[in-house]
Amino acid sequence: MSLPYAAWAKARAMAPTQVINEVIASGLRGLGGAGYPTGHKWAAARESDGNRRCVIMNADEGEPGTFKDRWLLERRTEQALEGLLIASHAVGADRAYLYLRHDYENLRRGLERELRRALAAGPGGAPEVSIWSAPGGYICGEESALIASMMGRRAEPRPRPPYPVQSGLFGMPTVINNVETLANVPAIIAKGAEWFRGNFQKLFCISGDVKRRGVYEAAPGISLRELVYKKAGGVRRAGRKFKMAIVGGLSGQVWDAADIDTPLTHENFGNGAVIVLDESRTALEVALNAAEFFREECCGACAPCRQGTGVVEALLEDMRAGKKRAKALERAARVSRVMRDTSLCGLGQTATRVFDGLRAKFPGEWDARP
Amino acid sequence: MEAAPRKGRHGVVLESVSGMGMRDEARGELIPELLRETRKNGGLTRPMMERVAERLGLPREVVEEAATFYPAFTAPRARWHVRVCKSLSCHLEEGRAVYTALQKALRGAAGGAAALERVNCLGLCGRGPAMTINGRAYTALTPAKAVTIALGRVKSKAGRL
Repeated sequence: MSLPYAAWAKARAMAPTQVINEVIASGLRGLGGAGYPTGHKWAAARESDGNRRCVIMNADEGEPGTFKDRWLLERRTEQALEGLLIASHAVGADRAYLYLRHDYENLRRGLERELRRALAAGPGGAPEVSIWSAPGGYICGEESALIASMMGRRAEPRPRPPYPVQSGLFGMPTVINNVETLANVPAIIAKGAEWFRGNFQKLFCISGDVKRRGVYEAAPGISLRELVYKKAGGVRRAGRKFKMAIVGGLSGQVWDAADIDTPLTHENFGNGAVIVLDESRTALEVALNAAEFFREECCGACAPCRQGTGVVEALLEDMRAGKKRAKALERAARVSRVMRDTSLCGLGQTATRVFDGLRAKFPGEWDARP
Repeated sequence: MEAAPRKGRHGVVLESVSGMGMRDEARGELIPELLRETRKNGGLTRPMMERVAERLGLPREVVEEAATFYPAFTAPRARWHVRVCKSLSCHLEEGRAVYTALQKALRGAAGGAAALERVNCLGLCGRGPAMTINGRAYTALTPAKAVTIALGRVKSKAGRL
């Protein structure tokens, strides 16, 4: 067992650029869904002009099917906080925030206790760390919306550039990293980039129609079959077959039985959520659940998303009622394309991704009588 | 070292750290302040918003702009907030039946002190169907189990807001 916060102490003995280079060499990428190279994000913030910088741990987990950040904050509190402290040192930040969604408020006491422990164990010169309660809303996970909320504004994304690493919270160069991303940093510093490249384990959140739902660690490259059958025990209800998995949460992709041996990699696993559905589930049921979610969570800032999420949901409702199915499907597909191409942020651009996937994978299901 | 002032679209200098006006700093306190009020009182009312505006020296419309946006502030005012997840993973575990049972059981319970909401993902997808009562999580629910838990808490006097 290593000493508590040994990696932080080791990082503090290194030059910040050395820490950044180690993280770049490790190949660590953002694990909240977007997959941006972490070390490059840090370097960009460090090189930006500004007399103060800040680092924010994004714990606004809200993607349906995703519960790894909650799991990490409950059980790997030390790694997550240590990652935040190392990032602050690397970036040259004197302020660090843990942006905690208010539904996770019950985790605050444990986090505060661990934070006190960290600062007591630490080598001094720690940044000022605060746990910032987020007032809710899926959109707050989007980094420019997250910053807007911390400045007392509505959480509406803004066009970029400038990126937060150039001008973020109150204009400061700001690094925003997902909890899982930061939780991987201590191991990189303690054991080196080389070790990390060969030993990195991604967290996968498996829910839905499987025997053993939960968070599983696996190296990228694991196939969907291994995850569903070996880790999660296969389809829960006897006699039912696997129909599909929603990979990356409700803004992710639809994988069907033909994709079962496809490896899950950085390019396709998104945030690592895997929602499994058996053959009793219909494509329309899933599409409707997603459509309602995005209509409610849309912030309303841009028209394609504000109008589109409502239109798609209404068309799907029509289809459920058995009204003009072929025509409704075609219209919804058209609206979906406009949303993908013209929405301001990732929410609108991916709101109908699952719907599009369902159409492609299950073209025969939409014409059937309800 | 001075941060270079950032020019906005219309040539207006936007906030920078060094030149950060008092108003922007006060605005950074807005959400924490609104959350404190909301938690203390079980919800947010107009007089509370006005108090916050006065305390922070912010225009009322700035406070209202934020207060009408976030789910934490727009939730109905109540002593007990029962929030049942309806997102896909909980939906697959019959979360709706949990909600329907609670709707029936909580109607008129505790003199209307409980507000029941169907909400989006609570990050408990591996243990659904799930709900929270005043922030505390309850998982692997059945309709009967959810009703027992909710009535137990709503009727207890010890619970805090």
